[in-house]
Amino acid sequence: MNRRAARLLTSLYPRPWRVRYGAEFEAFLVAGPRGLRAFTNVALFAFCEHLFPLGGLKMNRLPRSFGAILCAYLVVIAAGINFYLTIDDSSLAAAMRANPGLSTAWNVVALGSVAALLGAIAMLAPLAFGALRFALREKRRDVLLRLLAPPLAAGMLAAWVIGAFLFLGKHWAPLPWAVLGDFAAPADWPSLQARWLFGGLTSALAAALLAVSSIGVYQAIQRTRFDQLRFTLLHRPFTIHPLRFARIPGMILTAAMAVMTLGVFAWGLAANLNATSAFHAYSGPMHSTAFASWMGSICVFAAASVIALRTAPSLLTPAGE
Amino acid sequence: MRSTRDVVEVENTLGNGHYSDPPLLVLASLASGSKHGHAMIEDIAGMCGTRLGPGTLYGAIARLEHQGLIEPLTPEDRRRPYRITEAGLRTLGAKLTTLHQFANAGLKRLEAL
Repeated sequence: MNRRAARLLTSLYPRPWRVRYGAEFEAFLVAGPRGLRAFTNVALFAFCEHLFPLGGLKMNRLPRSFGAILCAYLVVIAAGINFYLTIDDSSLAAAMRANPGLSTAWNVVALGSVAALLGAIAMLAPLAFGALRFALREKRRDVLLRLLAPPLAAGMLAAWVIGAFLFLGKHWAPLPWAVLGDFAAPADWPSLQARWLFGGLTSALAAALLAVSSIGVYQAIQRTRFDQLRFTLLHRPFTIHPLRFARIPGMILTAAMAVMTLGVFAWGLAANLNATSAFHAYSGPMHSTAFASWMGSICVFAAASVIALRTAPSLLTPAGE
Repeated sequence: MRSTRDVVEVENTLGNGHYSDPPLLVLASLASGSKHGHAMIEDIAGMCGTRLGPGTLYGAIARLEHQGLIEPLTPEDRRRPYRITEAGLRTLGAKLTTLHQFANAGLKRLEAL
C-alpha cells in the first residue's frame, strides 16, 4: 500500500487512537497488506473505533448514560413520527373519534410525548450549553461538529423533502406514507414508481441521518469535560453542574418514553379489536399496513425504552459522575 | 446419510473450518515469542489458516494492550513488536482449556452419530 493511502486510512481513526497507534499502523500498512479487502477492513474497523472507542471503557458512567438516553429519545421521535403519520389522514383517525378506548390510548401517547419533550429540553439544555462552551473554549472542532450533527441532519432531511416536493409538482410524494399501492391516486399525482423511488430514498436518508445524529450526540457528550455553569437570573447568581442538573429531567424523559410505549401498545390492541379493517388497511409507510407500521413503531419504542430504563438507575448513583 | 454436497456447503458456511477470534489468535501467536504485526499475521495464517485484516489485527492489539494482556516493546525501524504478559498467558491458558473441553465434547458427539 502506498504511503498516501496508508495515511488516509490511518486518518479515519479517532484522534486518541491515532496518537497511540497511528505511526506504527501507518508503517504496518505501507509495508504489507494491500487491495480492496484490506482497504474495506481498515475503514470498517476505523468506523467501529468511532462507535466503541477504546477510551470508552474508562469513560464516566454519567455522561454515557445521558448519551444513551438521548439516543433512545431520537429513535423514539422517529418511531413517533411514523406512528402519527400512519394514523393521520387515514380511516383510523375517524375510528379514534368514535372509540373511547382508542382515543384514551392516543391521549396517553400524546401526554407522554409532551412530558418527554419537556424532559428532553430540560436535560439537553445544560448538557448542550456545557458541551458547546467546552468545545469553543478548548477549540475542539470534533465536539462542535458532533453537536451540530442533529440540526444539520434535520436541515438536510427537510431540504431533501422540500426539494423533492417542489420537483414533483408540489406533491408530498417524497414522504414514505405517500406510497399507497391500492389507492387510486388523482391524475395529477406523481406515478406510483416515482412515489416508491422518492419514498424509498427519503426512508434511507432519514435512517442514515438518524444514525449519524445519534452517534454525534453520544460522542459529543462522551468527549466533553463538563464544568460548573454560572449565570444570573432575576439579579440572583446561580451555579449548576450540567451533569447533576440533568439527572431529574433524564429520569422524567425515561419515564415518559416508557409511558408512550405503553400507550402505543395499548392503542394497537384497541385498534385491532375496535377498528380491525382500518388497522389492516394500507396506510403505513412504503405501502405497508397500519398494523405492520404499528409493529415497527412498537418494537422501536420498546427497544428505546428498555435502553433508557436500564440506563436510568445510573443517574441516581453518585459514584457514576 | 448426508451427501458430500451437504458437507461442502456446511464447510463453506463455516469458513472452511477457519477459526476467528482475533484477540485469542493474537495471544496464541505471541505465546511463542514477541512479534510485530506482519509476523503475527503470517504466524496466525500458518497456525489456523485465518489471515487477519490490518484493521482486525490492530483492533485486537489495541484492546489486548488496554486490558494489560500484551505489552509493546521498543519499536524496530517503525515496526513495534508486542509480547504477551503474565495476565495474557493466564487468560490464554483459561480460554484454550475451555475450547479444548468444548472441542472434545463436540467431537465425541460427532463420533457417536
